[in-house]
Order: sequence, then C-alpha cells, then structure tokens
Amino acid sequence: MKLAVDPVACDGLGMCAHQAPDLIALDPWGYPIVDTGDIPQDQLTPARRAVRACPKRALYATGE
Amino acid sequence: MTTYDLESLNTSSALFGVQRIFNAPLVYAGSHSEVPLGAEAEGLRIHRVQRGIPLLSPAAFAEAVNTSELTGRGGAHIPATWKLTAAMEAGPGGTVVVNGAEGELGSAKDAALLQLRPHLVLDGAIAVAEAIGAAEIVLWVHESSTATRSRLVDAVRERRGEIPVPVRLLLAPEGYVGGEASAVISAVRGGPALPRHSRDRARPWGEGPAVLVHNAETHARLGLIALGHDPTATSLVTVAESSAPLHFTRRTVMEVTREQTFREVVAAAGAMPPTAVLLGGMGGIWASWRDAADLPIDADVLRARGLTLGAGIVHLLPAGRDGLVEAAAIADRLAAESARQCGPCVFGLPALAEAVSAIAQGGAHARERSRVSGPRGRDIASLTDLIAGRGACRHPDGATRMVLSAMEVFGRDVHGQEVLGR
Repeated sequence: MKLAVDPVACDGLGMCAHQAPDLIALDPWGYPIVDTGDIPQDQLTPARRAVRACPKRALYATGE
Repeated sequence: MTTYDLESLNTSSALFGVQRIFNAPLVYAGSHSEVPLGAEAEGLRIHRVQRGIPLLSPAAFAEAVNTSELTGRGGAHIPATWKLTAAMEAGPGGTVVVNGAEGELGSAKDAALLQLRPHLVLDGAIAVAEAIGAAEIVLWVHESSTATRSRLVDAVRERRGEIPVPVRLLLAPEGYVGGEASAVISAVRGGPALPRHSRDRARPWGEGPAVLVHNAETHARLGLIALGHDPTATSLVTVAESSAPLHFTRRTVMEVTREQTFREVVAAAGAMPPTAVLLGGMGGIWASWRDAADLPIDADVLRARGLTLGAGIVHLLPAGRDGLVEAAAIADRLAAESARQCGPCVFGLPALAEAVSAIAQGGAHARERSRVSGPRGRDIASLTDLIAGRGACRHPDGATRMVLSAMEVFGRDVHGQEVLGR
C-alpha cells in the first residue's frame, strides 16, 4: 500500500499528519508532504486512519 | 503593426528533399498574434499539391507514429505513440483535441501553424481521430485569438463533408494553465478549464473513452506522418525578443533543422546576439550564450546537456539586462498564473518569486539574510524542494526549474560568488 494526495482537493487542514506523523509531514504552509514509498507493516493502521481522517478525501491509498 | 520579413527567405540547399512547413521566417511584431502581413494562409488545394493526400490506413498510421519517434511539441516531449496507444486501448468514442491555447507569451509557432497551415494540422487530427475511432475533434483556442479562430473555422468549412467526425470549436480562457492538458480534458468534458489531478498518468482522461490532447505543432507533425513525410526533419522555434522582461516586441517563428545552431538561428531571425537564453518558455532552463550559441537545436543534444527545447521558445536576454532581475519577473508572472488550486503552488510560487527578487535587487545584504531566515523564508534551494512535484500539473515544477537554472547561470556574475553556496 502507498499513500498519495490529490493536491487540488487538499485544503491543507492537516488532519492526516496528526494520524500518521511518521509518514506525513506538513510544509510551512500546512500542506502534507507524503512519504510515497511502500508503507511498512507497522504503519498500515496509521496510514488508513490518515486516509479516513481527511475531510476533503484528498489523501488516498493505492495498491491495496 | 505586423511585418513579414521577405529579406530572410530561407534558401539553404541542405533542406532539399525535406518537406518544409514554412518557406520563410514569420515575424510577429508586438504582443498580438495577428496574421503576419503578406503571409498567405495555405488553402486546401495548395496544401494537397504541396504535400499530397493522406493514404495510410489507421493501423499503418499508428505503426508509423510508433517508428517515427515523434515527441509532443507542447513542452513535455512525451513520445506521441504513448498517448496514441493508450487512447486506442481505451476504445472508440473518444475526443481528439487540437490544443491551440498557446499560453507562453514568447511563443507564436502554434498561432502560425493554425493561421497559415491549418490543413496540415487538420490532417494530423483527422488521422489520429480515425486511428482511435474518435467521435469528435475539438479545436481549443484562446477566446482573444480572433485571427487564429477565423482562419481555422475557414479551413474546417473548406473541407466540410470530408472530415469524418464532427468538429467542435471550444474557447479557452486567457492565461497560462488553460493550455495545460488536464485543464483541456476537464473543459472538453464540460468542467472548468483548470488542471486536474490524475491518479493514473498513462490515462490522464480517467475512465472511459480517451480525450487525446496534442498541441498544434504535434498535430502538424502527425499530419506529415499521415502524408508520408518525415515528421522530425525540422522543428519550429520562436525567437522571442523583448524590450523589458516579458514585454515581447518581436517573435520570429523559424523552422529549423537539427544541424542549425542557436547562433545561426538568432542571426537568421535578425536579432542581436544575447548574453543568455531562456530555452523552452517561462518554465524553461537558462543557459549563457557562451554555452548555448554553438549548440545544435536538436532535442537529444540539448537533453544530454540538461537543457530543453520545451515549447520551442528561445527567449533572448539582450546585453545590458540583468538575468536575475529577468528571472524574478518571470517567477512573479508564473506565481500570478497559478490556477490557485494546490497549496504548494499558491503559497510556494509567490515565496519563490519574492526570494529571487530579494536576491536580484538586494545584492549581498539579501544574500546575508537568506541564510538566517529559515525554511519559511528565502532559501531558494529549500523552497524549490518544497514546491517541485507537488502540484496537480507541472506549472510549479517549471517555475523551480527556471529559478534554479537562473541561479546557476547568473548567481556568480551578480554577486561574485555562488548564491546557493552548495
């Protein structure tokens, strides 16, 4: 599984970074910088929480 | 006022046997894309006499595109066969778009093609439409490009009944990103003409039949393939001269061969030798004239040197103008042209433009400050890292590329030492 962001949909609310701080950092303007590599086993739950936490449905998982 | 430069008719004998699109350089004076005075739009009959009739079957055409190594001339230089193959796999009922919304201020080559060689462009669009089983052809042109529009409509009318699918004229909003492919796809489907995020890069149109977008030059070259001519023997470039940053006074559309150097082409355009060139457009790459002048205008050679032909613009920096000031003005314009959808572009490009401007205007003092102000501020290298690759389209990537190359080419000249300090 991998994470990706639709940057058009993203409003920089930052919910995702709270749910998966090891995978997602916020830039100086509050927009997520997402680790786009394969998500390690122990980060799958935070990654799924981050996807669910996005009110704009901008964060999404691929290859699941 | 527009002029047509009759003095500089291209008579190079090396071109014997090559199917040329234009016979002479075309001079667009000022910022408007009015048809150059005296330049004749080629009617259907002359076009057929000059170039013949398309004889390839759809399958043979697709195969010829595959072997031609033709790449997209809108800027990204993606092999034309990729889009064609993906669109054929998507099944019939799609749309072929002729993208004539030339957002680059320094470019005029697509306007020249649509105004003066519309039938060659249409031959390409029709061949693609037949190959993918398209249900329509869309002509996407700027609302303000009245000259282009009327010539194109005349050409479609001239061959009414001969075009196998309906042709729809769609008016693009003004501005830079309205010509971006995902924005065109959105508009063709009735949405806003704004770039969209694509979850599958090979199928930017998403589900269902394809919306295949090529710019006018790519369609013209696909037309050459359909007519049995070599599509890559020449390229179209626009030599862009300006009186101040982005105030273009003279854009000369030149058809060049791979052997011609920048020095030869700039001379043939009647322009003074510059001190540096911005290649490709506003999101292009700077090169000093010393480095670029004797390079051939060949996409492969340029790529090997980390340069690009992009959308074919050769933007001249005349003697006496400061390259960093020029880069700051262009960065500012790119920030203003953002579609304002993606955070890193909305916030990053103004910050980047301001940072370049501070260095250009402030000299050593600004450079001193740039070291201490941290990631929010002025350090260009960290800003470009934050911006590149994070938008729905490549607009912010072009801005970072242009700025980084400007720092490399002009940084030392202005301050006597390397600005980035890498």
